[in-house]
Amino acid sequence: MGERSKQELLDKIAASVIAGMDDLIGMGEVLNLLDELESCDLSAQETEFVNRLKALFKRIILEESSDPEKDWESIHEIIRILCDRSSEASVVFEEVEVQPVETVDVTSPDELPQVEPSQISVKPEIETKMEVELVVVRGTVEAQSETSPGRVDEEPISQLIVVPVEDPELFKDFLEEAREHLASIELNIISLEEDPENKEVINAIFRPFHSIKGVAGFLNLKDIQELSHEVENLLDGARSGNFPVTEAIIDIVLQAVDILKEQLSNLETGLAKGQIAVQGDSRVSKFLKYVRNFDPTRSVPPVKIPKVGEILAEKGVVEEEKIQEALQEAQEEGKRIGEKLIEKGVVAPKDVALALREQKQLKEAVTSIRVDTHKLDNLVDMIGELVIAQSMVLQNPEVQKIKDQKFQKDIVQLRRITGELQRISTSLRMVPIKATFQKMIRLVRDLSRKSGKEVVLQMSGEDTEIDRNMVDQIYEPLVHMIRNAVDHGIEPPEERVKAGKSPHGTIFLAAEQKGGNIVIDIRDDGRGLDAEKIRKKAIERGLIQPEDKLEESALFDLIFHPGFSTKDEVTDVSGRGVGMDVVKRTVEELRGKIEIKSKRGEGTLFQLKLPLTMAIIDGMIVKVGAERYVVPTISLKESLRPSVDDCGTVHGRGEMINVRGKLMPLVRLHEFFGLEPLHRNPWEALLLVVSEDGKDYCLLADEIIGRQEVVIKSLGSALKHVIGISGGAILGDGRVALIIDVKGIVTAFERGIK
Amino acid sequence: MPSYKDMTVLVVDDFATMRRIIRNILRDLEFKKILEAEDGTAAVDILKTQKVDLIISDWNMPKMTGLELLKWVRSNEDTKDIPFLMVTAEAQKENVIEAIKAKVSNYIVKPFTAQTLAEKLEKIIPKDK
Repeated sequence: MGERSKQELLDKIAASVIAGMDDLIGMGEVLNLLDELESCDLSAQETEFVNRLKALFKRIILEESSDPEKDWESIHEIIRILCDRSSEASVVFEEVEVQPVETVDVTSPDELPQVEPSQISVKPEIETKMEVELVVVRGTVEAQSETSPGRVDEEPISQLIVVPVEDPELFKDFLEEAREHLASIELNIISLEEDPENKEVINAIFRPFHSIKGVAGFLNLKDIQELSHEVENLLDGARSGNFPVTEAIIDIVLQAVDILKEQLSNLETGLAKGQIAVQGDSRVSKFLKYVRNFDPTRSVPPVKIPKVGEILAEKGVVEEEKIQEALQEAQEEGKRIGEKLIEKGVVAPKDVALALREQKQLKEAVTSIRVDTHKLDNLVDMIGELVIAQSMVLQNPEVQKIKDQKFQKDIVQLRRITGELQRISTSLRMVPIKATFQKMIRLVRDLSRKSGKEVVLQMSGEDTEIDRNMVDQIYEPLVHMIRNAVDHGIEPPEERVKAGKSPHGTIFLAAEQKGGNIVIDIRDDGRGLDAEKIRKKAIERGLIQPEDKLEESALFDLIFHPGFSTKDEVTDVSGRGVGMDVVKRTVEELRGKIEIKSKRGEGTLFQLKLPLTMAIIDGMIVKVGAERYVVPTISLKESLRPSVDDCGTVHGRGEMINVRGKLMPLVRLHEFFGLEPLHRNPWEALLLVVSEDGKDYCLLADEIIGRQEVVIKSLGSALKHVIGISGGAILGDGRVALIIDVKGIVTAFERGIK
Repeated sequence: MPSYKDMTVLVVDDFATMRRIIRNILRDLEFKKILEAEDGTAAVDILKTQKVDLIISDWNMPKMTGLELLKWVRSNEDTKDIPFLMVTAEAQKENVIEAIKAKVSNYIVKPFTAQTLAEKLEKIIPKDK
């Protein structure tokens, strides 16, 4: 059966017609047949022929042959012999053996022809109209060895080569498109950092480099071409899985993007003058040198795999001392530890085999596995339910009657386990904020260069962990705030020196976990917010009335208002069409809060408070009438019971509470939710001080039941837009409590009194 | 030299500048009807509705690569005989064999000169046209 199809294939090959050396389609057909033939049962001789044929075809197709005519003849010769049905005579074989060896020997002894460079580059050196001046340029890079010696080759590479521009339009197109590509690379790098094994992402970064290289080749932009080429090679290796994408590789790509950007702007200035530098930039040559010497495989961190001896000792099969003893002997005798142990009779061969197997499994499992985030979410959700179910059981009056000591002990154990489970399930989704912070280093560097201001970034708390989903979402707001800090906050060096500050400004980026929340500070030591200027602007924009008396903090909060910008002109640095209103909205979508503190001449602090995860909030459970509500602690400043004297009504502003000299409007939650309260008088009830948009409010509730981390349950689409409620939570006794949306309540309250 | 005046060429490349370069060269070679597509899928859309006499396609493109486009062209009754010139980069030259097996008419390595392109076209376009 196999033989027959083999014969068919041979017949087909024999019958195939290749019109000539340009008939690539014909050659392709034969190559396909040869591939098929290879899967048949071939003799060593036949395999040899097939390989020879393939190599010869490849050489002709790739135009790497030094003597195509001769190769061509050899191909026909080999095909003839291979397909000759009466090819049993050994004489024929002898004849053949000489033939191909002879032809192959002419150029290279290997199957894959390694043609000398001089032979390849003869062909593409044909000049086009715009290359007359550029021949010189070519000589130094591409054809270093073969162009006539003593010419430009000898010139030091650092000399900048400048050429006149022939077709500026083309260059302009290239500039624009290359910039777009670089932007897409930067975006994708971010995804790559989070998911370094994603081939799609690597490819998405590889492709633009490839395209830039291609066009730069046409335009004879040697520096750009070579640089893109090296990065492309590196990425190609990563794409084919030869080595993992490490931070070092990402750094290289980022640096390349930087240099390319610089090159593009140089090109732009050059275009205006009609003369462009195409090669010899010292920064490029330094970079090329580094990348060419870079060993991507070396930067792979070694994974610690336990030794066989360690596994055996851990299992208690043999004592540590005996292993040490055997290890020494084994080393002296050049034997493996397992062998030596068996030889000494201290372990059974079976144990060694098991240890080896375990070691192998460890090698395969290495350190981490990928899990679908949905599964993870589901797990986290179910653990939340488990915790709730547990407290439902434990709070059951019947269960609480049980006085058995053993039972009490078991409960403690159960609580401990579920507590640990909950802790682990939360941590599963958490990643350090480090990666996000590190991107800011680059941003600050870029911004400082662009704006001409000296800015230093100081970071702390990079190891603070945050929900993975949130990491992505806080990136944009962070970028925006840092842009703002550089653009509006930090003064130019001269101005700083005049103000008695150091010439370089500093931006502090800090993250820390406080209670159930993450607090991220973005602080600069710049000029601070100008309350008066903001006020004027707000009046101009109709956001406030001239007679409105606002506190400084409330004025600051106006910058979060859509369409507010303190600088008239949109600058290159911060004018990106994204305003602080978007920042605030994003933070609020994450159930977080953002606050501003600023002092003229000393700087500004933006403080972001975010919940640890999207699934759980740290809440204060309060009672209003017979109902219970959860107030997120993130919104809560304090709780208090005022004295009778502190409560009063201000004309036109409704009920106010005086909290240490500060008047705050009173918001009666029972009125809002239409409930019958236990107490109507604030001095008998309880006040929750919350802060929204720089203004403080007192929410009136009856009592505080306790503080608890609650698992958020979506209320479904029907209740999604109920004002004042952001979700539901199941409490320990199994009853549902609604989570209060402080912002919603305050907004509704403001609307009500206006 | 074959007459290119009446032929419709489809240039496929995701990089607009690259398409422009090729288009400029083709203009010099007296091609009049030059269509452009920014990747394989866009090229397929064009091929489904218009008669094309020659395809010049880049290899490395998002969504649908040049090789995938070639395979589609060759497997489709209406398009299977269209001369197909694959544009490839020096680094990817080894892959050319793949394209040859998929019946590419010829290939050209970037960066190429107008003359090289002209020579390649001469090789793949039937002389009687």
